[in-house]
Amino acid sequence: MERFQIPAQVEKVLYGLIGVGLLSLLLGFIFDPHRSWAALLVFTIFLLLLSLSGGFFAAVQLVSGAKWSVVIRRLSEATLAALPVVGLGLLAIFFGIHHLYEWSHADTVARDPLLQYKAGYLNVPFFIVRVIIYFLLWFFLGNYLRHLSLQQDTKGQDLPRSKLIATSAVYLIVFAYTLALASLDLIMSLEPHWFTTMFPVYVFSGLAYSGTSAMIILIITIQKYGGLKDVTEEHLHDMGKWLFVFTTFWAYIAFSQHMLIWYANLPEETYYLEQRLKGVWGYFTAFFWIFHFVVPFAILLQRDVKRNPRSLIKVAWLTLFMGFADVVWMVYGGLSLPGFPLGILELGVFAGTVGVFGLMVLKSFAKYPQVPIGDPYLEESRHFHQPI
Amino acid sequence: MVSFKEVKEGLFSYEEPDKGWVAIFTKPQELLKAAEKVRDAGIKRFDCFTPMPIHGLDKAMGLKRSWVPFVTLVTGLGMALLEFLYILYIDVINWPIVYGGKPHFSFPAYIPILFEVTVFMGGVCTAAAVIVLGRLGKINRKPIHPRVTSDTFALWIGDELSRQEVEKILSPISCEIKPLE
Repeated sequence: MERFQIPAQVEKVLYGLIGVGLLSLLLGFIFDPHRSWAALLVFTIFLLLLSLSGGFFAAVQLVSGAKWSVVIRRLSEATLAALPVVGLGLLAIFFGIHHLYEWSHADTVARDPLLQYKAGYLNVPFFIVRVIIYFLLWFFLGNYLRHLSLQQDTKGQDLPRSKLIATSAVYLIVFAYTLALASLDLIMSLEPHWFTTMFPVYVFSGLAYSGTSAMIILIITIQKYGGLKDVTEEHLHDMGKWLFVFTTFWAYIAFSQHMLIWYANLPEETYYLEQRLKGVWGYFTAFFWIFHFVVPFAILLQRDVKRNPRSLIKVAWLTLFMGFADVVWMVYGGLSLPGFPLGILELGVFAGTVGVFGLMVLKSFAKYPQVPIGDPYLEESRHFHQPI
Repeated sequence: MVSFKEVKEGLFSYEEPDKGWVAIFTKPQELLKAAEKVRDAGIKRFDCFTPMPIHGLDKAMGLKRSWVPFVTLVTGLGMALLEFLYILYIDVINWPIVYGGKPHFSFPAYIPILFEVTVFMGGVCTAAAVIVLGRLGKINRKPIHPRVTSDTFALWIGDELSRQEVEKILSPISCEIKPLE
């Protein structure tokens, strides 16, 4: 089986994007360090969501015994290769804890009864230990799953499928708990006075949404340069449906959270939304609902869009960017930063994230055969057809 | 945009086999080939009868995409609009009561109901449309061949043709051709 070769042109663009990201962060740290720490957190979280989404996708497909997706399983597993950069980002965040998290200041906690009450969980050493544990679990369990899946190439049917399925099931459970806790620790604790019970689900819906967009972009780009020949418009159609599902799922979860806050009208909950609806943030939130949900929903409702790579990749770029804007919305809202939340710095960070993710994933994808050649369902996946 | 005529023709495309010719096959591959030949011969009224779903048969028959999703969209949105007007009438005009300090017209509170009505009525109307458009209620139909539900594949041609013309279209596929009573 032929390996995929990263075209020099694509590699140049990706290095350029990384350069743009680094340059904007560097200039940001010189002129506005407070905002840049937030931007660094956004970068780390968005890259984390993108790289975990592939492992989640592969594990779900294995556990459910799906056959259509076998030809894209290798690509989805390759997204886990971006995790080392996430580790570097988290390491950098440890140095910026005092710029980001108000519970890390001893004097603020001393003045605040609620933060004193929460200090048993929200304190700097325990925070660092927790984040390190999550990262190690993601890294080693994800790589073990990938390692097993790669073994299938040589062992074929000698590798019991039940072993793959069991590992995926464990991975999914660990993924669910660690992602839920990590979303509370990394994002929600930016506003430690706020109460909600839906936050981890909200972050997960964002993960699946942006992860699917990234995967569609990767598939179509790889195909443009002669790779992944087994993926047909039938598979793209299903990926489009998957994106459509998570567009709706995100809106469902986001609206559920907001409606409960609106209904109960409790001050410790409403201030979160109030901060995100006043002044320039009102426009941002409106922009967000229109382009995160309404526009992709209406476009993806059409069958022809999902079957045509050229239109699908445009929608996927829009949804990927809106997934990024979602992270900005969550992180920046609590930090009372002046100006429009999507500025030059944030666009630069988006470019950097795309560059790092694309480069790491493509490099790792090019090392191994493009499809799981030992999988017994590969042939069935190649001939997958949608009903008319 | 689609015209009303196009939608109507797409929705009511089902043809009841009444007269014409029936070709009986024993293998699904033969039926697939025959369906392609009949489609290429430009025959308008024909249909296939199989005991199980056959991959690629809809393509071989040259079937266009179903218009049933259109029914789902229109009925779902239409019913949601009706429901919205109904809530509006009760909550704002007919019996305005203050709940939890919210204004009479509180759109966020309507969204779950509108969502449910869209999904539920879209689903119910789709099921109803499938039953009506596919003539599923008719129970006194005479089977086109007694074994068409176990191991036999049948193709019905409804255009007015002679036996020689039907044989010419279907050759060289081996099959049994007989008139439909």
